[in-house]
Amino acid sequence: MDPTERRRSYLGDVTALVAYSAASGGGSRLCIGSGGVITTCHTGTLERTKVRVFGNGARVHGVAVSEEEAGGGGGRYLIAHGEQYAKVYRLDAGEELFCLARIGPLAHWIMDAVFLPRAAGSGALVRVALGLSDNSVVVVDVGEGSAETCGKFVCSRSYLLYSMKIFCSRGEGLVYAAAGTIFNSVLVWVFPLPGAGGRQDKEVISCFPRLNFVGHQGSILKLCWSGSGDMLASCSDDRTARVWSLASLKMDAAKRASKECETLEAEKVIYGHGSRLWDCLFSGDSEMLVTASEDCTCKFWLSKARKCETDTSDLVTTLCGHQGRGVWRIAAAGGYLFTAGADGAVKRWLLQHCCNPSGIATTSLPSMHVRSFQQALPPLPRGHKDPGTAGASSAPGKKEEKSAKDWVRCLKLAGVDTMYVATNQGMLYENSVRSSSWRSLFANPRRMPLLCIEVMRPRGGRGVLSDHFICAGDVNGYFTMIAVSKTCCGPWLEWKAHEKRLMGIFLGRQDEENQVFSTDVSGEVKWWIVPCKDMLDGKVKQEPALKAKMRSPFKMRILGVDFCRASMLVICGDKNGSIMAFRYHGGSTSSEEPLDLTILMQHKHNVSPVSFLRSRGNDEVVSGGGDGKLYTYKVIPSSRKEGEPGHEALCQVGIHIEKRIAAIEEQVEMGDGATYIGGFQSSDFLVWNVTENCEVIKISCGGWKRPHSLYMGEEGASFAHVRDHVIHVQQLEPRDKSAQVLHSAFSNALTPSFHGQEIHSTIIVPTRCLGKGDGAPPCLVITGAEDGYVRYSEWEPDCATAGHFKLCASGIIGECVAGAQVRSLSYSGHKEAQGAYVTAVGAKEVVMVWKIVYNSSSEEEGCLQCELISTKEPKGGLRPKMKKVSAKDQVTDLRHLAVDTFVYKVDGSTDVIFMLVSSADASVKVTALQVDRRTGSTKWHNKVCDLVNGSRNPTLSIRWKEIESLGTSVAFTGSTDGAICCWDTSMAINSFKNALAKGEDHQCIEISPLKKFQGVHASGVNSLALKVSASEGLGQLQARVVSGGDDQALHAKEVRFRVLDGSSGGVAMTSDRGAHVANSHYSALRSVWTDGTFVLSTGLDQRLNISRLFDDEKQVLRLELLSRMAVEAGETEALSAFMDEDLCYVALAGRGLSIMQVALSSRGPPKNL
Amino acid sequence: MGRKSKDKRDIYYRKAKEEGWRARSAFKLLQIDEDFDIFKGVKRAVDLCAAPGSWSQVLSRRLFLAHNKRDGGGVGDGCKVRGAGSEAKGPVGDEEKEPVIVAVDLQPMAPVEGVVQIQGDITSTETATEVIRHFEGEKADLVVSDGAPDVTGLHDLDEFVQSQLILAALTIVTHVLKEGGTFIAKVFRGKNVQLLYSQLKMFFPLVTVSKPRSSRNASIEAFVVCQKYSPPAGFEPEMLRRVLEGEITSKDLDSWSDATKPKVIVPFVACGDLQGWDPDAVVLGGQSEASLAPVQPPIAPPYKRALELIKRGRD
Repeated sequence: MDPTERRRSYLGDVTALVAYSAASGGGSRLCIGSGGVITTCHTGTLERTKVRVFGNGARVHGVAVSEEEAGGGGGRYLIAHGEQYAKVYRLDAGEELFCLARIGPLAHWIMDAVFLPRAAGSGALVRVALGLSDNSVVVVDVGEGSAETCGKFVCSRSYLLYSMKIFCSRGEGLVYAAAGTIFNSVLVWVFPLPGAGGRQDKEVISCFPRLNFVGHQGSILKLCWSGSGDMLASCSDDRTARVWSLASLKMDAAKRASKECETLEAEKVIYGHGSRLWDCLFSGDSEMLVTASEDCTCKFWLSKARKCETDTSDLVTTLCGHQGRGVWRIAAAGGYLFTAGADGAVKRWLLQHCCNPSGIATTSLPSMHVRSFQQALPPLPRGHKDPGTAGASSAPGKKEEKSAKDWVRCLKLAGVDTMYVATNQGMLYENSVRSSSWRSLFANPRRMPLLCIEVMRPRGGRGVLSDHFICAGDVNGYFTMIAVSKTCCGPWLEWKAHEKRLMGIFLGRQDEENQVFSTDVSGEVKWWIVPCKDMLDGKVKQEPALKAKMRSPFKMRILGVDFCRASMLVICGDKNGSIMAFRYHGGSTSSEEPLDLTILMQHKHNVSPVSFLRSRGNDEVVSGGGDGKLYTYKVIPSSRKEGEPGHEALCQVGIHIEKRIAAIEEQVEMGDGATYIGGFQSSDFLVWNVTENCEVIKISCGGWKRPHSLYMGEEGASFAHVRDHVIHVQQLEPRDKSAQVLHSAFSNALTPSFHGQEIHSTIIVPTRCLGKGDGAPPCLVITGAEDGYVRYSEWEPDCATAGHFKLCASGIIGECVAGAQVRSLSYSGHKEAQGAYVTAVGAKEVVMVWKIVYNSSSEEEGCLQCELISTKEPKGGLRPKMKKVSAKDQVTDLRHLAVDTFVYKVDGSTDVIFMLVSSADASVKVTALQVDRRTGSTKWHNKVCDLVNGSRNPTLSIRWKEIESLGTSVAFTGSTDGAICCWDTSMAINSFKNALAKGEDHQCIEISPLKKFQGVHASGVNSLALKVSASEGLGQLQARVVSGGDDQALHAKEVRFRVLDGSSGGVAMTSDRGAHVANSHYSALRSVWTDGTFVLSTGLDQRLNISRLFDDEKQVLRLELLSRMAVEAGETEALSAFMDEDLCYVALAGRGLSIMQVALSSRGPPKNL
Repeated sequence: MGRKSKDKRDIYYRKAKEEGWRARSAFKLLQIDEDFDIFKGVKRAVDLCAAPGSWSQVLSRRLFLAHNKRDGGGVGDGCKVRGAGSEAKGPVGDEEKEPVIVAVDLQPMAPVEGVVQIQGDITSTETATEVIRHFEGEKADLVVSDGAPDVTGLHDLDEFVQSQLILAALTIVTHVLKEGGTFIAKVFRGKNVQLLYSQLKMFFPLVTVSKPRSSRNASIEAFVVCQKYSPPAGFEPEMLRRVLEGEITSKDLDSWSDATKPKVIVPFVACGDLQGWDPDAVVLGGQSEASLAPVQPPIAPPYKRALELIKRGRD
């Protein structure tokens, strides 16, 4: 039985985008071309229709939608083109797509397609013009199932084109073609609108170019006509967009008649992008030009301004929010701009926000709008008005500003609309922002400035009258708690917490005890338990209890404190970027005795202040700093850290550098795991949605040296700051107030984003092997890419659209430290459904291990939970050393090339992940990671086994298999010289296991290959696949290993082993035989897969080959090609598959991810028998 | 190829500088020669899209300088660029004649000893005529082309433009290459490379795709070595486009799976010494510490002006 393709889908770059208003009214619609599929999408309801356009792996390069309403039906027509093909569809009122006709293959690539007015009396439904890459235009009449050429116009300069854009001027009866040539010029030529089909129209008409626009220094990647056709814009590889005028051609009728070609320079040259430009678009009135670039930004420019190329003030605004290889396509309709690109995300921007940046706050979220409020402090109560009194009562030596006016010392938002403000005169107010109403809560009896406030909502002891408490600290070190409810308020407790200024209050856990930390100006931290019983409930006022205190060795102010319960550590971050931890002994010692300092990391945030520090989960700590970095740490318990008994360590397990924000202030995690980072970027405060990669709000507040506060919650967000004695509050609220605000309102993404850069490795697994039940999406795909991310995506057959898959969920498993690219992934799971480990290796010799498991708790049931287990950084560190290293130590381009792993379950609580890793220095090593499943603590064993005497060239591919029942493990490695080595690692692994069981040290063992197969391939062995089957009774093993080479060849080998006597598990090779297909692909093979019978292979020719491995009648091993399919994922590098009965699920990755479902039958006899 | 990009600074990058090649691509042609012996008996050679000139350097060293050494003429100091002087010699037998090398590019190029430069478009007939004029009416034995477009990163577009560039090079090949001659060009082995192979097969019975060892394992680049030029019967160079286009439209690739048996089979040869340097390997130590200056500084990139403006803005 031949393999038959059942379904396929593509997730990756968007190469075509067009926006139009729906025929039936009701908002704008989008047509997205990604891979060989076009999707029409309602931008409001997100309901979509999918249609496969090309099946031959050609991608949709462009889409156009007709203007006119089709006769009667109320629909429109749509044309999609890619390579030498085009397809015309009718879009009916329900936005379903019906294919009318297919055009092609033409002799040249189609660069542009537009609809022309139908000729009177023509029987065709629509007329289209196709711009071809040889600088010609063909006009085609399309009817139901028919496509007839009715004219071909050729420019006399038949240059090769990079781009073409056709403009139909109905008034003039002319068609203008603008062609971006390989010589970096734009040629404009004109031809009359062809009449009704006649014989003369079928002739080839040669046209002379009228205008030659010169000046570009790079390939012209896209052209765009203004609405009237008077202006043309082009964008190029040279990082410029240029605006050209057609006035000279249009004004002068005589010139129009002549055959001369006028050479002109640009009206305007726009510089400003940091990389090549991919698309441009005029605004409706042609006053503005929008450009999209590979630097992942879109910029708005004034299109008609002074001719001064150095002047960048023409820039109106910049949109950020894509990642990877840039923004490729932009489209506008219905007041929105849509952007899409390499990361596969389609984003929606409200044009109103983009074009009007004059306000103090801007947002890129179409679903939200900003309301701005200004509040002035209320007048001081009578007793406070005398500045003389205030000055007299100030502490000696302190200079209080002698002003009758009070000013804000700090403020805190406790909700979208609730703000607490503390002043220099010691006043504490509550402010309702919208109604601009003030309530005085407290006046400091000492009239001393209040320096910090925090809102405490006790969980246990909420009373009748007090809803919550406001904690405030003043200059004299007094800690005040004020009980607040809707109707009343009053001081609850006050005590002298510190001798010096009380600078910060940080909430601890609010459970049985209400814990709070206070810090002073000199690095002292006190940890309090405060009573929060209601005033009326507890007649006797309880006193706050000091739980512990600690003192920073640096005597610098502490800006972040939290208690990590699992490890009993109080972790602090200070003003100079140092992180420290103090050991809490559980109250066994006096609270007056300062806690011991156990961990000290000086200047972790590079002398910038630590802006927040939080413990999360079991033993994870996050810190953010003014250096724009977010660090994640794990606490390593003292017993695990070698050499330092009794000392814990904070092990850094992740860095996230937020490019958009220079100084991180706050991190907010909301439902569904969406993460937001707020911070300052020069004089703006920016909130960035990290999960969806988009800007939430940008507030031009004038910089960080001012009181400010951010609140984000499910009902909206607000930011308050003080400027010129006025409190400015910006509230983000949903446009549709009736709808419940979900976190998705804080995003402008219509489709989720994906890698955006080349995917180097992929793994597809059935979700049931991760313990997912019936009815769940059947496959989970893990991908690792150039951008340093490891992502997952879940797919299920799409019931609504035949032949397609549905993307159920996608997300990030993890990010490699410092964004080091992922070259190879390995998946290893337990037999029981207790999750699996994903190992990623790549650039800079980073090894990272995550654990993935489906959440079984009721709250997030069915969600994939990803946990970072460990990171292994290279010996030399991640960053290049600044100091000069001697030539001998100089190591360039350290990187891992391939990895394979398996898990060994030591006992109920310990796992060991064995990894076979190859590096670019031609070494192949086995390392082991010991994981305590309960505590999550890990230990690396770097020297388990070295594979020596193999190839002296780097190993590109590794396959390793353990047969647990026999205690045997065999490995195959393929290197750049085309050799494949076979290894028996059993002895080394078993010796390690024994040493581990006995708690002894293991000596690194060197092993040589069992056999080296020289010259299997003429060039590098890019990929290996291995299937080992054991016949245990006989002590025999059979391995079928398939290799794909850079030499376009596919090779299969069958190797038989005999298990040696004794307990070593070692094997001896008894026989081997092979089958070779020299030109199995048209280009280098990049990845192969096998289950022992079927062989799947893919290569740079973008084909998926399905072959069958069998013995022919003479018992000779043979590889027979069953099927060859073209796939959309360009630069195909990785392939993974699994069989589910007769269905094979295949993931192919390169520039994007292709998922396929192919029916394979192993029962049928091979064809040639 | 960025000088700062560590990943790409492999052993060949360094060796090229040490041996005075303008680009590491010189090794690719040398390694192709190891397997195909392409320079044997070559008296007239054309280098298309020659800038920055590393392949012209190879042609010069392997043909021109090798010939002069054999004649005992020695290699003079400095650059001896061919000109009117060499034509003044009387008629000599083909065997003794100095090899003639013509390099064609749109861009100017620093002179290479023994190489005549023509600044022109490879698709135009005028360029072809000028090349033949330098060969004194004779046709070329060897045409090489290492040209590639400014890559965009969109692989399908890059592959398309590259294949169009090779077909454009075929224009000049059909004019200047003698029957039985050899044509070598860089290809991107992407999705539609099979179409290009079948187009080349129409003119060359022997087409081999070869991957020199110095070309990185993962790169899409390879070289077609087309031997024994024999155009179809009755072929005139003017017919080229029509012949090529016929090949495209005759194939309908729009099917879910294409033929399992391709019409043309182009053999693959990996060339260069397997024991030689490996561009995928990391070389530990053993290198001299000083960094070497580029032999020929890079040509102006398209975004040169944009960079200048940024620089100026910072000052």
